[in-house]
Amino acid sequence: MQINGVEIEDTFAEAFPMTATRLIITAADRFWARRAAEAMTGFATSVIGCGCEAGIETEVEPNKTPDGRPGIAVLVFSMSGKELEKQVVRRVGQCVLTCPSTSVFAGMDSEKRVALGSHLRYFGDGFQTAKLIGGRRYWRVPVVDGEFVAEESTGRRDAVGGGNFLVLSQSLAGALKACESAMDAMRQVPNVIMPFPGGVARSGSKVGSKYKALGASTNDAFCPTLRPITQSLLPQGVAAALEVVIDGLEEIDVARAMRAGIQAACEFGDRYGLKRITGGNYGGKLGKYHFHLHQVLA
Amino acid sequence: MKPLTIRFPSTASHRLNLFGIVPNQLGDQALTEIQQLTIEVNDRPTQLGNHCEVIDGVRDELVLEGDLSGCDYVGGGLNSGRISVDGSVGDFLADRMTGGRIEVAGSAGRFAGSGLRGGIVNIAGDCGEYAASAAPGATRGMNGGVLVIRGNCDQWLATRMRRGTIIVHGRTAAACATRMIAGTLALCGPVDFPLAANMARGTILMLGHQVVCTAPPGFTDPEHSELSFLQILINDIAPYLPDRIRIERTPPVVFRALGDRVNRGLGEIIWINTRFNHADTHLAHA
Repeated sequence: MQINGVEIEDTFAEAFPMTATRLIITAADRFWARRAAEAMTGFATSVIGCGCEAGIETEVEPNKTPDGRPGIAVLVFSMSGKELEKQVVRRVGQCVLTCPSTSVFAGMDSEKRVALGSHLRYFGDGFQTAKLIGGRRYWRVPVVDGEFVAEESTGRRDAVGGGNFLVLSQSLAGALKACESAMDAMRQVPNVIMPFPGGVARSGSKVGSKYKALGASTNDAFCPTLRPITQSLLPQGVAAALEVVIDGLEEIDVARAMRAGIQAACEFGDRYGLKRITGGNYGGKLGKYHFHLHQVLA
Repeated sequence: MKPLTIRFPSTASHRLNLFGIVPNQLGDQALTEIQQLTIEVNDRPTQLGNHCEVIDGVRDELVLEGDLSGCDYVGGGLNSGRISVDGSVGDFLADRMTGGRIEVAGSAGRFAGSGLRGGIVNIAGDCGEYAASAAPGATRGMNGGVLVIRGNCDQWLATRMRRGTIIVHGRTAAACATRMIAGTLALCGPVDFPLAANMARGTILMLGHQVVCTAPPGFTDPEHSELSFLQILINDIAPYLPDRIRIERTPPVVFRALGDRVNRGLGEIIWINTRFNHADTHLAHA
């Protein structure tokens, strides 16, 4: 298969099960809502070292937020409900509660719950109050700019993490441009985040390492500088490979984002020197979800 | 098909206890079984059919017609369906009600909504003393649901109320929210003092145009506050507010007093529209 002269390799990208939640962060204006969301989703690129993967999903219009203020929806993914709750409480406590004028609300309904205001309320030192409105409990914590409002808990659900595709280009500049185009398209897809910086990882990894302590290490088969000394998977003329990683609430969400991203990256394939799109295939060792690139693009 | 209708005579001389005569209890019963249901008259058991006429109809709605001012515990035990009362009711309206809806075209007696735990109760007329308050022998009053009083409300509204929302369109008599534990009161008309004595927690929204921003004894002086949660609360109660009050969006600044500090309470009284309020108010009165 080819798109605008770019070869789409007949392979699949592997992804694995995660658990996820969505939060709605509101503030006096969009500037502060975004500052809080950016802080909260910082250092959340990979569960390997960050405990969770998080990112901004979309902006939420004031008429769709609980308190009628501008909002930002963020998605947080982790490997277990317990770890997810730990990360959510810690990150909201340090990055949203601290940010001027913000409030935080559940962005997902589910029987499985993740604590939010029920833990954060203790910052109020006994001056906090709860309000049950329309069947939802909100905690009002006095802070020096007024009140921090946090919904008692948010829902969580099973999700898919680690969906991916790799962009192989004749130059690093071309690979970057292709990925930027892909990101612009993928950010329009609901229910997904791309947790790495700018949505792209240059540290594509393989499962395992020569060092026993590491579960993942550099994907030497795609490192251009190692081409002469490893069993390289890079075609001739490729000077850089970048990996786009996607976490989504459902398999179909990840597939939609992959399709949008690949198509956008290939749109100006010649201009970017794009040679090939491939997937992170680890022989089935990484996860149960397999996204076959040809099927995703069909 | 018409709803199941129970018609009471206009000359009832006894006090009837109608607890349990609710759609969720009548759903699978034949008309004769309904007529033989046990109720209490002057605290003695008797059959429902001896005191009223039962007209068959669909069971998810119950219409009560006639003079029910001597009927207590109307809607008692309701958890689904709807009850429409074509007139006034006696005491203890909606006792232990957990869901569904009650519409009263007339007024309600004492302790209306005292045992309310969920659902919506709409009283078109006035309401007697102790509405939503702790009933004799109970430690807590209303514990959930929505109570809308479109007329005036007598004394001791929401005494020891625990949870839920009350909206009063007319005048609220003295001693409202005494020892209130939690919940929300939206008072749209004049409010007589004393108010909120020993209030522990909860919210009183003063929405009436004629309400002056004066805090009751034991409360802090009203101060400007910006409360982002208020829009959530306003959105929740907006469908129950009188037509004369139209809130397009919450004003950015309101007045708020905390108390009753005599017992270290953190209850709050919020004035959304007073002559002291921010010029850019969005609360419009027709």
